Amino acid sequence: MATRVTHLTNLARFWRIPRHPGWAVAPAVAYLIVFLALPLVLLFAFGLVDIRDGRVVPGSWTFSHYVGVLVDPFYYRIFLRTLYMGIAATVLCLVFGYPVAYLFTRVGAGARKVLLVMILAPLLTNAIVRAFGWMIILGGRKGLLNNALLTLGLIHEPVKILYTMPAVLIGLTQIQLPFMVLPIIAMLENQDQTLRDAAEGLGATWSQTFFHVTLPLSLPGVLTGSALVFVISYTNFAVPALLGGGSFAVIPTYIFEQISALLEWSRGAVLSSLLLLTALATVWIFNRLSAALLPWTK
Amino acid sequence: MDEVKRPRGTGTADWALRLALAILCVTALLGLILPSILVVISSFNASDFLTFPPQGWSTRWYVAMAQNWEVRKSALLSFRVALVVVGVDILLGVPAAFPLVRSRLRGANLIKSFLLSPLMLPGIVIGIGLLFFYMVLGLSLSFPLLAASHVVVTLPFVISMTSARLVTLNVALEEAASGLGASQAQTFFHVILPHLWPGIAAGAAFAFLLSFDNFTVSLFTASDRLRPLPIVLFYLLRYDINPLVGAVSTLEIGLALVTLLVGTRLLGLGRVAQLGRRMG
Repeated sequence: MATRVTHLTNLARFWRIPRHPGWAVAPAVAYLIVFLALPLVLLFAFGLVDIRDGRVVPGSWTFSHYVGVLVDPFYYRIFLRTLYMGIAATVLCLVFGYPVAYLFTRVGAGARKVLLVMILAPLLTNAIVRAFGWMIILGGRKGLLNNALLTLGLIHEPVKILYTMPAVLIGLTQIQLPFMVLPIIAMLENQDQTLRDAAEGLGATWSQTFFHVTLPLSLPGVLTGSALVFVISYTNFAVPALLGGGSFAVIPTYIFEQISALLEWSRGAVLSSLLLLTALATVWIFNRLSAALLPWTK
Repeated sequence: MDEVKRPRGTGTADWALRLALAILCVTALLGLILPSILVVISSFNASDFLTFPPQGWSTRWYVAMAQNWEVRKSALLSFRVALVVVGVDILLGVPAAFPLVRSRLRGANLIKSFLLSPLMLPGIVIGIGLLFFYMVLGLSLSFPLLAASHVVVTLPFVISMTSARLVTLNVALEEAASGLGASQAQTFFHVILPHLWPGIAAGAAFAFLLSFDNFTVSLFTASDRLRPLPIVLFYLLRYDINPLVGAVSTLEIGLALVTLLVGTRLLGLGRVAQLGRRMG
């Protein structure tokens, strides 16, 4: 009898075991519904109404703000330029990030630690601080780069790099590089060493093994990293605003101008909504591609 | 068999590829750390403008920084905001981690992606959405609203770092504690918390840094009278290069390194890197 009682109490305890009931998650969810979901809904709604003197005009539903942006070739050009900025930064991150990820998987534990700190430390540094570092390097006649090139005799006149698209791309590449490197490392780490051994055993050269085995098998990581880098570059404000200079117009800097200086709320809302939708669509496509490739790499 | 196996890396193509990879790798690593190193060096530059290499050494920019009323005020504001943000993050994030890890709640994955979604959303869109939200409610931008806005983008870190530790906590230990007569509170303070605190602390450290460093969300949710440090730095650099920023930046780089060190001590470098992968 006694054993049965303990058995029952044990059973009772067993049912109580998730003593961390679902509602513990409720405050966090409620908080993000109020401070994230509602604001995003508002952001979309603000593009569909008239706003006068910082107040929504009741019952003024309209598509005119969207139409105004979508038919204007001016916005078309800015969107294309922003798209170019995002894609170019992604390609640069891939070109420079892949070798770093590859190196990481081929060195010992000590070197790995050093590499990881080098990759992670910039990630935690303020975007303004990192942009400032590039301003010192690229800036003006007295900047480090111009100084070095002049001293080496490679150029005779200082070149203007700061406040141009290349400066923005350099800054974005540095800031975004970790987001490309880390997913690729994850994919390379999971790769089956025997596949490479087999390729080499069958007489493949090092570069053949790299292009026909290592690289294709790491494509899901490349896609994940590319999606992240693209979205962060495409929507970045600090880098184009500082390294592109005051008149450098991409969608994020243009939105800031519309909202902060001109108080064009509706236009700001339309452009932000379009920015978010295009960014999310890209992530979705890349993630689908990555998911489709993943089973094939196993 | 020796004749069959070809010596590795002999072809010209191999050497060309290896060389190309090595050059790209060195350039990337230099590009990653060089700007920070130069910021630190330039902050001790004695000359009036940012000349490289520096003509002499001095701490005049640190003196200028300490005497700059705007920088001092904004640094204090950022510090206070970050403290409040960490407090709210812990109160909301630590309890949320339990059902996410433990329960087989239907839709747990959906809730998890929702709670971590601020990591994937562009900061500029979150900032503008919040600005509109406060405007519709008729609220003027203030200290509590700035902190509330920062909570949105830092909460995922506390949740995921707490979850990372919670996954490794054996449920049997809790069963044993309550089986031996411990109350729920006793179990929490003597069994759960001692195991969980490195995750909570690491999450708090990262949340503090990300609030202190936050720029894009503050850009829209901080009023002109309450400017946090990154916003002040931004306006100091917007149309010109101000050497004063070098001194502030050097301290910021130090803060980032300390946070990375604390994070890796508490959770290990690998776990921190995993989080970095999702950070945006």
